[in-house]
Amino acid sequence: MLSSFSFDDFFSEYNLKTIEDKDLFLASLLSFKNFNSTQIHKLSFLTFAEDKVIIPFEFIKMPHGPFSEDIKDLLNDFSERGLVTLNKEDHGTWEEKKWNLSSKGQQLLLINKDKVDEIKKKLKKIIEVYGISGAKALERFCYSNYLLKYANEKPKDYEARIQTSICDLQIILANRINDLGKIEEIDESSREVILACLDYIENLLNTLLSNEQIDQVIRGILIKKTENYINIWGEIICLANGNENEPKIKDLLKEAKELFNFINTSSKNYGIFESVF
Amino acid sequence: MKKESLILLDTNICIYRTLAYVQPKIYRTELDEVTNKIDSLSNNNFKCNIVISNLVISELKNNSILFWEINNFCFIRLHVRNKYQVLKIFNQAKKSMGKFISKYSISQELEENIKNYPLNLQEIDQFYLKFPQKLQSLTHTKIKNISNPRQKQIKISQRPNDLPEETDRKLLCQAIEIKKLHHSDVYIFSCDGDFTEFVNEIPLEFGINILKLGDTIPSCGED
Repeated sequence: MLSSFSFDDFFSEYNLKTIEDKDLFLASLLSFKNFNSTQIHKLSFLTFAEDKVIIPFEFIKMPHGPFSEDIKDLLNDFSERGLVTLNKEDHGTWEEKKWNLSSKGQQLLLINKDKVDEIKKKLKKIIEVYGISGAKALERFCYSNYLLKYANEKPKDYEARIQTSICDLQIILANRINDLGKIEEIDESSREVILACLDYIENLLNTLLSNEQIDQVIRGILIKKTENYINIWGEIICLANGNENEPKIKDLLKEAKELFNFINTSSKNYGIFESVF
Repeated sequence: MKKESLILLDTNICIYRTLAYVQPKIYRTELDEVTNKIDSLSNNNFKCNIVISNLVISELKNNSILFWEINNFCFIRLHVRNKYQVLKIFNQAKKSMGKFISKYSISQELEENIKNYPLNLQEIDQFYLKFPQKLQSLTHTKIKNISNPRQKQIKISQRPNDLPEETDRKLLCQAIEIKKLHHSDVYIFSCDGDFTEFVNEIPLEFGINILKLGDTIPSCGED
C-alpha cells in the first residue's frame, strides 16, 4: 500500500498556520468574547499547543500553568493605548475581572478587517472547544495534558514522571523504526526519509530526557506532540497491510507532516533542538 | 580543450556543486573540485557553454532522486552519524538548487533543436553492449549499497542487460545531437561510472568527451 505514495507524501515542508501580528491576535481573541487574564494566557497557549498555530508569544510554566510575559506586557500596552478596559463582572457570590475591547479596540478590528477575518478563522476552533471554559478548568486541562508539575508534587517525582514518559516513547519509537525496516513495498528513498524524521524525533527525545533545565511547558508540548507523531506512524504501519486504506493513510501522512513541522519549528523557536528546514 | 566548448553537466555533478554551497560548509575535495572546474570553464579564458539538460533538471527536481543521492553521499562519503542531518543538508541543497538550475538550464531553442535525440538510443545501446563485463561490474557497484531485495531488483530492472540507466543513455544521445548541430567540442561532465569508465571509448565512438573528477582541464586551445 505504501508504494502508491510519493516521496513528497512522506516528507516535505508543511505550511503551518501562523499568526504574526501580536496586536491583531489579541484584539481578534477578545472580539469573540470578554476573557479574564488567565483565560487569555491559556487560550493563546492552546492555540499554539493544541491547534499547532505558530503565534508570536513564548510560554513558560508559572504557578497557574502556561504563561506568557509577552501577553502580559501586551495587555498592559493595550490598556495604556485605550484599546481595552478591565471591567468587573458580578457573578453573585464572586466577582471576575475581564478584558473588554473598547470602541478604539473595535476600530482596530475594522481597519484591519481582512487580516482579522483570517486570524479569527485560525482561532475559531480553539474558541469553540475551550472558549466556554473558566480559568480553573483551562488550568487543569493544561496541567494534565501537558505533564506540568503540580504544586504538591516533589521535583524529583515530577522528573521521574517525565523521564518515564520519555523512556516509554523511546521504546515505542524503536519498535516503529524496526517495523518500518520490515515493510518491503516502500521505495528505499521514502523509507530513508521517514527513518531520518524518526531519527530527528529520537535525538529530540534524548535532549528532552537529559536536559532538566528546559521549561516544563515546552517540554510538555514536545513530549505530547512526539507521542502523537509516533502513534500516527504506528497507525500508518498497521494500515499499510490493508488494501483499501489509501485515503486514510493519505490523511495520516498529511497529519504526520504537519506534526513533524510543528515539532521542528517549536524546538527551534524555543532553542531546544536544531531545525532541519 | 577548445574555447567555447559545450559542457553538459550530469546529475551527480549538479548535486556536488549544490552541496558545495551548503552551510555549514562540507569539506570534501570533490565538492570544491566541481565548483572550481565549473568556474574555470565558464570564465573568460575558456568561455565554455555550461548546460544542464532537461533530463538532468527532471532528476534534480525529483525529491526522491535528490534525497537518495544526497543520502548516499552523506553516509558513504561524509560518514554522517545521525540520519536526521541528511534532512538538513537535503533541504538546504534543495533551496540553492533552483538558482543553479536557472543559471545553466538548457535554452528552449537548443532543447527544440535536439528533440530527435532518442533516435540515437539504439546506436548507444549497441555501443555499450560491446562491454558486457564492464557493465556487469558497474551494475554490481551500483546495487551493493541497497539493502532491500525488492529495491535491488528495481535498480537491476532499470539497467536492462546491465545497460546504463535510461537518463544517462539519453544524456549521451543529447550530446551527440548537439555535436551534430553545433560542430563544437561537446563534453559530458560526470562522476558516474557509466561515463567515466568509458573515457576512451565514448570519444572514439561518438566524438563526445568525458570530463571527470580528478581530470586536469587542458589549457585553452588544446585538444
